[in-house]
Amino acid sequence: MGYPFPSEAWLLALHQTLNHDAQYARTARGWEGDMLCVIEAVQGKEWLAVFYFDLWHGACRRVESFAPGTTELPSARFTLRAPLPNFYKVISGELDPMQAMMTRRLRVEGNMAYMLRNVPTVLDFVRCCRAVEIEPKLVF
Amino acid sequence: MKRYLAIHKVRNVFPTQDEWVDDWRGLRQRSRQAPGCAVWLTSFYAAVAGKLYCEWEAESEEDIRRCFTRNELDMAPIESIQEIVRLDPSWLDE
Repeated sequence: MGYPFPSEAWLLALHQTLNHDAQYARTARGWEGDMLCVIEAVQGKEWLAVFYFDLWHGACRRVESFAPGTTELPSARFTLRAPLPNFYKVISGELDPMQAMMTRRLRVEGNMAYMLRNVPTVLDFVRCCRAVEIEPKLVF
Repeated sequence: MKRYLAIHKVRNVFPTQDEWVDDWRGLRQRSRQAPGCAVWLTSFYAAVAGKLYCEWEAESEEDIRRCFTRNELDMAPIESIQEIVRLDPSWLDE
């Protein structure tokens, strides 16, 4: 079953996936930190959706979706910002997440050293994102 | 031009994405403009071991070493640079 992206349904499906994935639990067992994903309409402009993930020792303790117009967003250890096409390309497997960070197509606010020390966790999180089917497919 | 594999031990990483990307972009530009014109081809990062394996094309090992700033070498000192040859296993399918 597929879910529209970005949508709360997709976020909830990912929440389930993360918490039922033994490999993610193992790989991310040392990860401590929450994350905001800001999905922008156009780079640096107004956002379409914001997803919050509370990630702790291989589990996703909580997710929350924020609709446009929300004035106060939670602060998180990491904030990832990108226009919708870039986010979509990362979670559909078209764009490597590390390559996206290195080329600033995915902008990262937060401690880069921690992120790079935990590359396997980052890659496995993205693998779980890719496991959640998106329907309808988007074309950019 | 010869191919080399440079192995770095990553001691420190820039704390922000901008610093990281700007430094790597600078390294790439410096390497192109250096007298020996070393070319940084690709890198593989082993996060668990904290090592960076970088493939270079250059006339000599020294041309590669000259591309790095002191700060870069402090953050990710070079453990070794060795001349390599590329072996592509897909040749075995032909």
